[in-house]
Amino acid sequence: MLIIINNKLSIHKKGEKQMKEKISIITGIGIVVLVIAIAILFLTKSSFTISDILLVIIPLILVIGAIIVLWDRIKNLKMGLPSADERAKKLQWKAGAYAYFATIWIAIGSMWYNIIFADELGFPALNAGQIVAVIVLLSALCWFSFQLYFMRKGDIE
Amino acid sequence: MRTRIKELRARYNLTQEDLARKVGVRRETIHFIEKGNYNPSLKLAHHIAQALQTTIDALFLFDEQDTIE
Repeated sequence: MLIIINNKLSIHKKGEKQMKEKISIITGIGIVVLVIAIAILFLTKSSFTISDILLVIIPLILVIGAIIVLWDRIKNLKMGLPSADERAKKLQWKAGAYAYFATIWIAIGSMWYNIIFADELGFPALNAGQIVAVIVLLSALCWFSFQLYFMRKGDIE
Repeated sequence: MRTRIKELRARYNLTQEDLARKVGVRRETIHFIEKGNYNPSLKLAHHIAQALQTTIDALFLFDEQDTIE
C-alpha cells in the first residue's frame, strides 16, 4: 500500500517537474520572440549612435544565448531526459560565481580604460550608460562562456 | 576514482541514454561519471547502483591517491 502511494507521489512529482520545465521553455521562447520583435522595430530607425548599437547588440547576444540553452533543453526533453540535472545546476551556479568575479574586474577595467586609454592616449571615452552596457554585455558573455566551458569539461572542483 | 558503470551497462545491454533515463539525469552526466570526470552526489550514486543492480562500493573504485579536496 505504502509503495503504491509512494509511486503515485513520485509520478505526481515527476509530472509537476515536467510541467515546470515546459512552462520555463514556453516563457523563454516568448521572451526571445519579444526581444527580436523589439530589435526589429528598433532597427527601422534612420540614424544610430554607439549607445543605440549597444542597446541592440546586448539583447541580441542574450537572445542567441537563450536560443542555444532552449534548444539544448528541448532536445533533452524530446529524448525523455531532464533539461537540467544536479551536474548542470551545480555548474550553472559555479559559472555564476565566476562571472560575478569577472564582472568586478570588468567594472574596474572599464574605469581604468577611461583613465588610461581615454584621458591619456586619446581613445573615445565611455559615458556612464555605455559603461553599464559594456558591463552587462561582458558579464552575460562571461556567465555563458564559463557555463559552456564547465559543461564541456565535466565538472569543476 | 574509477567506475564499473560501462562494464555493468554492457552486461545489462543499456546505453548511456537508457541509464540516464532510468536515473533521471542528462546523458552527458553519465558519460562524465563513466570517464571519472564528475563525482556524483551520494543520492545519484545510489540511483545508478540500484539501476545496475549493484552497490555503491562495487560500482565506484577509489584509488589510494584519491584525496578529499
